[in-house]
Amino acid sequence: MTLLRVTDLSVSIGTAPVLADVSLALEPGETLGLVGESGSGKSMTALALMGLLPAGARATGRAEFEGQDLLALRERELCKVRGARIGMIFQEPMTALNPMKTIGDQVAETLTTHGAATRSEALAIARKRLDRVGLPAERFGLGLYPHELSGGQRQRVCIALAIALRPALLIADEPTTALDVTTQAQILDLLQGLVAEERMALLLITHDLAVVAGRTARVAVMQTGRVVETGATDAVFRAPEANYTRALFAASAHVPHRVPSVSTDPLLELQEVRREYLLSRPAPFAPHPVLRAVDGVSFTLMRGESLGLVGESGCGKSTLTRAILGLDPVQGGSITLAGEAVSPTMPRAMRAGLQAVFQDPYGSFDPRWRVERLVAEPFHLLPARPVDWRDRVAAALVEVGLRPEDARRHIHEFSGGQRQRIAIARALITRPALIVLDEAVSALDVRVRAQVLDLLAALQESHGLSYLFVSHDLAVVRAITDRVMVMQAGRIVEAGATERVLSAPTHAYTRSLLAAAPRLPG
Amino acid sequence: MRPGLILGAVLTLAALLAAGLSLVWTPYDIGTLDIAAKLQGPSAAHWLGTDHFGRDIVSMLMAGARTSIAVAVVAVGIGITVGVPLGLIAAARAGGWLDEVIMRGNDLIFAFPSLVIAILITAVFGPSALNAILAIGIFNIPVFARVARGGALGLWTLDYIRAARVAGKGTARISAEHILPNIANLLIVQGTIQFSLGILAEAGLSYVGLGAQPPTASWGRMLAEAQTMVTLAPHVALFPGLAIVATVLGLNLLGDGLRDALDPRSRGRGA
Repeated sequence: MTLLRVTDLSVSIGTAPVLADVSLALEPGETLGLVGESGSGKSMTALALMGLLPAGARATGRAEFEGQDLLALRERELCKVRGARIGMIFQEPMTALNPMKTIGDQVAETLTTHGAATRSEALAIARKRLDRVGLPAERFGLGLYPHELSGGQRQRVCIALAIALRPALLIADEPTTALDVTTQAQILDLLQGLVAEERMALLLITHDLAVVAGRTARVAVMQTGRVVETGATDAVFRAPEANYTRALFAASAHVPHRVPSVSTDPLLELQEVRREYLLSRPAPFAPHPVLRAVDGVSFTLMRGESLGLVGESGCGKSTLTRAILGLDPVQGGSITLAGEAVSPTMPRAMRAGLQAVFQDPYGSFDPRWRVERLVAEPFHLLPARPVDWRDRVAAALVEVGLRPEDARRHIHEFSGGQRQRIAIARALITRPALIVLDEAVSALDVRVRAQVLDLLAALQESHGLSYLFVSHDLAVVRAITDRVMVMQAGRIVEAGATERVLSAPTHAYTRSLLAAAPRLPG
Repeated sequence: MRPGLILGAVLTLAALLAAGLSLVWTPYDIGTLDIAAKLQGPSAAHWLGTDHFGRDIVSMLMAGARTSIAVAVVAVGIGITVGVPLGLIAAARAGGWLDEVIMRGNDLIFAFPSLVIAILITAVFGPSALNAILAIGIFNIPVFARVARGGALGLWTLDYIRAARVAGKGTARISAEHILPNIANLLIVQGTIQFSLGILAEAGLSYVGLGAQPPTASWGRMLAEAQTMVTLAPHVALFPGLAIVATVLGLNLLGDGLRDALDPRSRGRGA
């Protein structure tokens, strides 16, 4: 018997359609990957199944689950299904747990809410579930609070919560997007094991094709509210039928055309750089403990070179980036740009040679300013704003593939990819020698990411730029850099030509990163 | 355009108009007492009736609006001009000694209720509308400092502030160009709330005799004086009470509506 059969599910918000005739089927114990870019409707599908659509949304069609139509159920009946028969895991483990309650109470709450157990029984079951998701009693007591756990551990608590009542269906919406690659691999292994063991069906929603590869039996690809392709994962990956799926694969594997032109002229030099933070005192009048976030890092970036810096969250790469940008002082060692010392007090003219593009296309711009003012902001670094500044903004916009008229618009009128182009235009406006790209393409969909990488490669060639490319994504680093450095716990553990490091790593940490990174077959 | 914003604007405008008009004209002179016509109900001659001295209540409300609004405007002005820069400085130096000094100073002011400050000031300088302004204004400083600091703290972590720092801008310039416009929403909403609280506080201080002194008209004193006659002539207490409620409600609706209208993200949508 089919566990979940969605037939012609359509959802509209106001008059705008967000889902059109979505049909899916899931057998008990089966795993289905639901893949698509942002805005494709994959999360909206999950929300419609759970009866959690935003206010003003209307759903039509059928979603039969264990013999009842989920779309026709009233809120009270849905409450009996949610959490009990369908469990759900969300993207952001940092906000999915209540910070004021212990993890034991939160897992037990699912059981007591559905009247499945008394409080003491519920706590006993919670203990077993936490053991099962890899949080053993000796290290992870029920009395811990979410802030005492790492992101991966919190996601394990969310999973324990979702499986507390042994639901027949588990919906995981981007469960590993916010996690590091090694943690991602562990969480995906855990989900796969649980599904096999408990005969749960799994609906795994993700934007990353590689996450689904080898993890789910079948895959459905969504584009603008429609399912464009469904099939066995192997078959879809081997021979995609829909044009859209083929475009996604091409973009995922895209390598921009680059002409390496590394000079022997050093541009950025780091010598034994140390960055330390004072932590809060453990007791009144005790000395502040010191956290050494960057511990003796040295490297040289040549003019025209594209250098990658790879590492997981907490390895110190963001702290190092801030020091290189001259935003924070260093506690030891030296940073020089073209022979002059980088520091928070360096002269403006020197800052003009060093610009940055940040990760978040939404947080990188003051929402109140127009594009021309945003792009022109670094002109502040010149002695006076050039008289032809409007022309130069227009030229920069054209260079990144936008139109000169876009200068008069507000930032909220642009998509994520366009915003990242505007961020690049802003970084280019003072004609810097070095641009620091801090996870600059991580938040973008694969097709947009491919375009932005092409743009970066073309600009490097035409302007003779040097890039410091900070990222956790090995595939992107491989595509755009000449050399790469791997950072772990504040130190560079391996460095060398990108191809060499990523195909024949010598350090154990680099090897574990490569092993954990999800890969597309072929 | 939201109906709340329009209603709020109309109520606020009505209070402002009444106050403005009273500078040049009121239906009757409130300085003249007409004991023979005391405690009359609403009529064609006196739309809202007369008080225990025979003064026209419409005229008294108009003159009272002037006192209330003047006190509230200046008090909120003191709060914003002193409090907001303090909050911005504290946020820019978050965790530093300057932040600590400013915020603990704020706590100190918070620890004294405005009524106590008003009594203190009155004890030294004697009761007057000016002293009410000072007392309410001082109490507004920590409110705006905290709102500004709280809003600014969240912004300082954003990438566009980092981008501005990469563009070589100092903390003062970033605070003025990026932080202040982006917390303006918060400040406007807090401003209208403080404005309405200011009107209430002025009414309260005048009610206990620490604010505007006779013959200056004040909504609070009108309430206080009408209190003893509330069973005899309820309208004398009712109308100043309604005036306070309407103005406070109008300001709150206006603040709420302005917050939405001033957001550039909502501009152009649905247009």
